[in-house]
Amino acid sequence: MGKTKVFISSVNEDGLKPLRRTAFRELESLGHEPLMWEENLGPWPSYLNPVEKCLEAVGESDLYVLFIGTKAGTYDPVSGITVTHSELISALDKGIAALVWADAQVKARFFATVAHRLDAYIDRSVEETGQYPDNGRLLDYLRTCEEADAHVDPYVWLLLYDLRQRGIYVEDLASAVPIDWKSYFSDLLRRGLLLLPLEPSIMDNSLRLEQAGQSFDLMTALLPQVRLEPPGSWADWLGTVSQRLQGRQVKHAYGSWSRETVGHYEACNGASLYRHEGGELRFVACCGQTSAVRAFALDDQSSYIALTYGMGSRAEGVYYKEARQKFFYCVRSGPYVATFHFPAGPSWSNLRYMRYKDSVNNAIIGPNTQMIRLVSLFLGGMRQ
Amino acid sequence: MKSCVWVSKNGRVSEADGIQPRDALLFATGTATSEDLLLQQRIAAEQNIRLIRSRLAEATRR
Repeated sequence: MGKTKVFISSVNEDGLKPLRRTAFRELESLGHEPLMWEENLGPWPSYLNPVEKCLEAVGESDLYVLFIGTKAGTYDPVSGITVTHSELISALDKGIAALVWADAQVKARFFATVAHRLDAYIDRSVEETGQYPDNGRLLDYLRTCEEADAHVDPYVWLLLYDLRQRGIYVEDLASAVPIDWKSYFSDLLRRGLLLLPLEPSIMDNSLRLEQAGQSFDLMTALLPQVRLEPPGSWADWLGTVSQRLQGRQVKHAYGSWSRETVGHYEACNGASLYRHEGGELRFVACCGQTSAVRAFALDDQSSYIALTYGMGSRAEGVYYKEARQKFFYCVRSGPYVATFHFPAGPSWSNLRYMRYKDSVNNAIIGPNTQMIRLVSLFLGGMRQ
Repeated sequence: MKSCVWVSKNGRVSEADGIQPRDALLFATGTATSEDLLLQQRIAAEQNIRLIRSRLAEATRR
């Protein structure tokens, strides 16, 4: 019967050594298989990189346990993170459950003041430079931050900040209070037992997802092979599509893990369709809160419809106009250009759009990729 | 490809630089297309399915 492999991670600082030893012995006595540097990991031959070997061991474990004290451990200036932090990232990246404890006083100070100071500093930096500050700059700031106790290595605050950003709960570590491992493992067992009986449903859902993907692929392969009659009402056709385009938050990603909500857009409230005919783009139909312009010249550079048409037969793009406080998503397919109108939330301005253009683009297109593909194929297949 | 913001004002398109008038039309090039994002989503979904299946196989193995 397989044993649960538990990787015990922390800086090997004096204050944490007794805790690490106790944890190792207790986990072993409970029938688990703890993995810890000074007990059963390494030393390895000199030609092997000990950090890589540790990360390998993290990847082979079932549970990752982290103790955080006042020391940060070895910092790698090239990657901008410590070895302990890279073990945490590796565990989470591989979908390994993590249990984290931090010195109770350090944790209290972090949540009471340091976290807010870091939030404010990061907000200011993003506002001033348009970029999330790297760890080197954050560490420089923490060295000057009065609330960040001098006896705590600055990187410890960054590690706690990262845990907070990822939504990982951090337990209190107090020297006089032993860790009740039995309770933690009982809780993990309870959570696992809730999920294990769902195996047939989860497997069934994954199969359905694959089948849905195959059906979509078949449809996208067949549609270009047929010619379609235009619908009786293009306005109804546009309405059918636009009522499925929901409003959403716009999230901006800083690296792989940190994400910030930078605004939102509302559900599509109008759509229009134009067609290349007689050397111009002629109005076909519209629905919702849009107004019709009879036609646009192909070289009209003030029109998002003409601009999209000029970008190629399968062009698409998101446009923003502060005066109308709207995003316009345009998609061209053959002679047609369809445009979907999304009211922009109040936070948007020209400058904000310029800063977060990629995030706006992904927020509007990302949730609707399959629908957009179908719209494009249907329009492209219409009989001329 | 790095994305770039363009502005359409007074009937002409140019690269957007600095403060733009409120009635300007802004757009970006070099951003991900629906096909790029669809491909990324399909790859992520396939990876998720593989991970879930391998974890369930491991979890239910006796």
